[in-house]
Amino acid sequence: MSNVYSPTDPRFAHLGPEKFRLRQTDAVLLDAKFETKPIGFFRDAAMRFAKSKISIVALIAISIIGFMAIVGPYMTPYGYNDQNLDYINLPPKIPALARFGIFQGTRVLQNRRVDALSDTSRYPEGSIIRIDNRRVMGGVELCDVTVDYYRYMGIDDDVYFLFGTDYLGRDLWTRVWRGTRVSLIIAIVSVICNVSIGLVYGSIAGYYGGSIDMTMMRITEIIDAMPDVVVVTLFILYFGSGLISIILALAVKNWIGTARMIRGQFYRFKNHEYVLAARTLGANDARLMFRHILPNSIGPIITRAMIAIPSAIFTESFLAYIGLGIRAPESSIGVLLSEGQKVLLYYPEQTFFPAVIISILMIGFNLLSNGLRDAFDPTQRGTE
Amino acid sequence: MRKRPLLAVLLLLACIFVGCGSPAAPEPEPQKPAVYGTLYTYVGTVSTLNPFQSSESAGTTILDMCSLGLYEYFPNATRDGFSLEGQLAEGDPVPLNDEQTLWEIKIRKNAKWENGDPITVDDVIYSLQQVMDPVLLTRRASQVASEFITIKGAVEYYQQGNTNSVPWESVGIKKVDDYTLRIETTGFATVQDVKTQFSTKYTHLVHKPTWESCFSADRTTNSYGTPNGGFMSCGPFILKEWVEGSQFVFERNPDYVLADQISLEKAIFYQITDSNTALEMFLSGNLDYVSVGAAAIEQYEDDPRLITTLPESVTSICVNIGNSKNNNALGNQNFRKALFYATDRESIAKLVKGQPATWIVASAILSSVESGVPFRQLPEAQAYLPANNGFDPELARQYFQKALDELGLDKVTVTMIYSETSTNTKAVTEFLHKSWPEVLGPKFELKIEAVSSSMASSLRKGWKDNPDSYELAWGGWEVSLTDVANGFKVYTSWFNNKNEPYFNEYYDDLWQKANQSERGKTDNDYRLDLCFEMEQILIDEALTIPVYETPGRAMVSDRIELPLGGYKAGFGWGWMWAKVVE
Amino acid sequence: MVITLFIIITIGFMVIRLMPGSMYADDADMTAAQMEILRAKYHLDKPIPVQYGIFLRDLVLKGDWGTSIKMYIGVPVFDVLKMKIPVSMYNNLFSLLISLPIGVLLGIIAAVRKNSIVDYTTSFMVVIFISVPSFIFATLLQYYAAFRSGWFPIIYEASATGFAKLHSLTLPIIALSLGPIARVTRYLRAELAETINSDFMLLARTKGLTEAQAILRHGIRNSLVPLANVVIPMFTHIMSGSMVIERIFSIPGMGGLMVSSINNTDYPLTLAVLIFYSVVSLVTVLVVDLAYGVIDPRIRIGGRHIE
Repeated sequence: MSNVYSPTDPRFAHLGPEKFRLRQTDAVLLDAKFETKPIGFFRDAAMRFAKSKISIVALIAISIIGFMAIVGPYMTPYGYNDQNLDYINLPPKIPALARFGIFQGTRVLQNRRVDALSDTSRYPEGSIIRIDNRRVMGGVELCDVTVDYYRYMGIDDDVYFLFGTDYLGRDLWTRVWRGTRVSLIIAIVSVICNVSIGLVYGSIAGYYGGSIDMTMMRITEIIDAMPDVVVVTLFILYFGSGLISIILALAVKNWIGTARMIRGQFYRFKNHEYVLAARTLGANDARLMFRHILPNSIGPIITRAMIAIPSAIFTESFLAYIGLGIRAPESSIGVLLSEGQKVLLYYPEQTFFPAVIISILMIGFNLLSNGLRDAFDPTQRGTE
Repeated sequence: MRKRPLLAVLLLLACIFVGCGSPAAPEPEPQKPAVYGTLYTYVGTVSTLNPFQSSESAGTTILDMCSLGLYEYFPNATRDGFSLEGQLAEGDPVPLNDEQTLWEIKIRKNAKWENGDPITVDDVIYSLQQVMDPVLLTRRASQVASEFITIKGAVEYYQQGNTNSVPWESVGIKKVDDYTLRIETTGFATVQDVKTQFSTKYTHLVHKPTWESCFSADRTTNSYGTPNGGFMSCGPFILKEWVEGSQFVFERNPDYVLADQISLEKAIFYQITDSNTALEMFLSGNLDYVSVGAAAIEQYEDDPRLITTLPESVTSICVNIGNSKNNNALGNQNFRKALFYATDRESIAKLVKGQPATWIVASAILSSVESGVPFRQLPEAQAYLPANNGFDPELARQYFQKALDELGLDKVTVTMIYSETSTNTKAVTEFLHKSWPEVLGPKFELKIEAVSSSMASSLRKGWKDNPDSYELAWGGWEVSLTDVANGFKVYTSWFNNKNEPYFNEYYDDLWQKANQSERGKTDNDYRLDLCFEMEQILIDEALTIPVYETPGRAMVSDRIELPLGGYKAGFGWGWMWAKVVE
Repeated sequence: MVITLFIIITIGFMVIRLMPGSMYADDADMTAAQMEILRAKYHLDKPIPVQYGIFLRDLVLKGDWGTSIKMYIGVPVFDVLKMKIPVSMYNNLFSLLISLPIGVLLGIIAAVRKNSIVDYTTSFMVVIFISVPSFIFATLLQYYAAFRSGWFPIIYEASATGFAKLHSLTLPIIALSLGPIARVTRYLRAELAETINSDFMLLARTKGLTEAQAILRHGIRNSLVPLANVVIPMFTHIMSGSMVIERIFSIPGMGGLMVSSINNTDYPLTLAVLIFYSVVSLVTVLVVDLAYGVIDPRIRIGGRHIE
């Protein structure tokens, strides 16, 4: 005896079919089929990413620098290695900004003899702009002279260098953007290397666990215990200072962090039920590792990579400072910064521009990685 | 005799007294000079004060301050030049035979160590024995045994190793009495030779008890003069404090043999490696001296304190003529000459704020100490220099074409190594990287490769083990500034530290004539003639391509009066005779 | 750990000996015979495995790390390190000690006042300090805070003691700390901002704690755990930074020793420096592992808590 309704049951005879009415004869069943397309992982992330204004600004800033790194070197008539020894260490001169009193191509020359100021062979006509701080030292009257450095060097008024020039008279605008390009290439390639190595290594260690994991982690410990400075220095000394060896030197230790993180992720996910299910259905190890477990780590990996890019640029500049940077005459942010440091007190502008660019890249990649982390975070999936 | 500027001043004073109309007045008692003030200066890296191991120029400066040698360069009484006079030695060495191979040197009787121990000939002999000790084997052993003079039996002694086959008694260094030393040389030597040999820092004295206490258990190493080991001063100043890597503090040594010549009470030598730091220290009054680098020169070129000195070394490109690459193109003289004439030295001079150089002997090197005239300024030394500072693109192309024909090559690619940390050579390398191919055309290519400075030098010297160790590299010899002929040794066949595998018997012969023959040692004109010929050979061979010279630039504060009023090549600044004139 | 160290020593020894370049390449004017004798004296004429055997024998039997052969001739390398380490450690530890609290403090302020002007200013400073290399800051600090204003000595005063010494070390320490402070701040801000939004913080506030109380008692404690992760790289970062800073401020520390010993091909010294740095970094790892247990007995493995 059941209580289930049946039209033939005499107990329900009073409930005839006429008492019932179809509710949805013309309406569509909502759960029958999605009208909209399903939102994939990346699409979902992209949508959430687009909602964050700061991340978009960061992305735009990086894109602009990236764009300039590609086209910047071609925007002036000078090549990155065009030398002119009459144009050494010129200050920046940007015609559009000159009227606001900045980047006029002026420079203060200290400790100049007052009696030599009228000597037009040293100070060509119209080169002296201002004279300050007159004083007598050792019986000689000295002063600080502000000069239009372009005229002082006897250069025509229509010649200008937007970021100035370096010790070989090379255009710094071209070199800065070319340097940005080289630095970005070094950073991105080295990060790709370290992510790839770390990914495979960490996956294997994390997935198999046990003694394999044990051995592999000991190896990373050994590599990790060697200080970065030492490893990188020895590496470069051994293999020379080419682009490839710098990239490898940057990757040689950095993959360990990625490997550890991936291993951690594997430990977290490998015992989940869905992995068990996939295994039961016959998925092999490689498929389990790369198809089922690894995608969980995409967010952290991308976030990590984003932070690693500017820090690779940073390490490269450190290498350049100790004389192990990229091979001349090629330029890079690090090379420009360390060249700039040598003359920082005399020609600060040579440090200023690369420093600004590395800062923007640093801010940009950091904000971008924050944005991406939020966007990729699986716990936030589907929320708005 | 040592010169006594002070004595001259006192005599002058005495004359004035006499002139004042008191002829009966007794001669004023010789007064001690006013001793006061502290000198603040700085030096580069000094890792050891062991005179037998030190090879840093900064170490030489420090050793000069606090240790004692037989001879030393002293400022003249007239304070316009300098000469080599006895410091521990009392007077010049005296030849005892006609062949001039046996010498006697008297030493002063009033010399003392910092702790009061008297200094006798035993100390001198002990020091010489230790520097040449066959087991200890210091780095300077070979130079003490044989450089300006060759001490009899010394080479055999230091090279015997553990064999114990050559007794110290067979070496030509003997004690006559407590204050007389006898030296035997293997060949003819002049007074000047002996004096020069015993003015080098590696013949300075070490204190026996201290030295003995610094031996390791097996007596194969000795830590004397290192920050952890002992050290005993006996020079013009006493080393009071040494904070490794940071500073040296000196105080005047009242027991110094020539203490009356010293006017400073104290001297502090900081160790600063960063040039900006040093300049800031100078400008804020914390240093009395600073060397001004090329980048800073624009801001100080008019400063009255700026002192410019003659360049002491020619920066040149060493060519590995034994390199087998490119069909041994570097061994081809025409190819090397093509490089020589393709070098735009005037532009390079602008780049490094120096002067173009087409010669081997640097501008500061003296033709002789007596005349004080730099070798470079002799008209004969200029006659054979190429015109237009050796830049002649047309000639360079001709030589290059000739070389290509001889070598049977269509294209030559050479690699130049340089160090990133050396600002000047880096810039010039980048310049040549661009300008040489522009001059020589598309058949020539220059590759450049940055290596660390130590790597650069070991590659440059590495041709002995590996003939292809380098192709082109930067070099610049710092040789004796007072003895022009001696400096040519770096191209002789037997010089061990050579940059280029160059072996030329005729050249070797010239060098020997100039440096070791009796005529060369005594006849200055003859020696100079040989020098002209040697330099001509080297320029013509182009096995080293001179490029530029950079003058020394420094500022010295107004409160310091230097013994010669400035810097003199071969003498230096003379810090120990400086005066504070506040 | 001992095994790790042994492997590092072995690899280090091999790598250093295999470096191109010869020990007596550019030196005092020595004859070939003299050089040969010297090579033999330091066993450099033997094959590398034999050299390694000799090194290990001396190390194990006599505790002898070798003698400096080029820079501090005749001095046991152990003594060289003993002389250099205290100077550097003084700076490095000081720098670590001030950068941790300052970084934590700034991080908290920035996280609590998230998206305020304070947060933006801090973030801006953080980015500048992280991105511009310390050698630029050191040069600028030296110029403005020492040379132009005269507030601090331009170089390290080696013979000074007590306060004067600290005074002369202020600028190097600041220059060394800027980077680490920025790192800690950035890390803590991110962690804390996340923690503040987590459920247990909501609970803490619900049960009546004020914002400040909740953050102090619950938030920070939770954010400090992952901070241990940055301390290790931070310490090595400070050590590598000191290489540059020590040069600029003329501090006779470990910083330049590594590079100059490599440059001078002083093998025993290079190896000793390598071992020293390795030991420091191994010990740091150990300390941080132990610290984990102290700060948070249940080591955090679970997922992030985000609303």
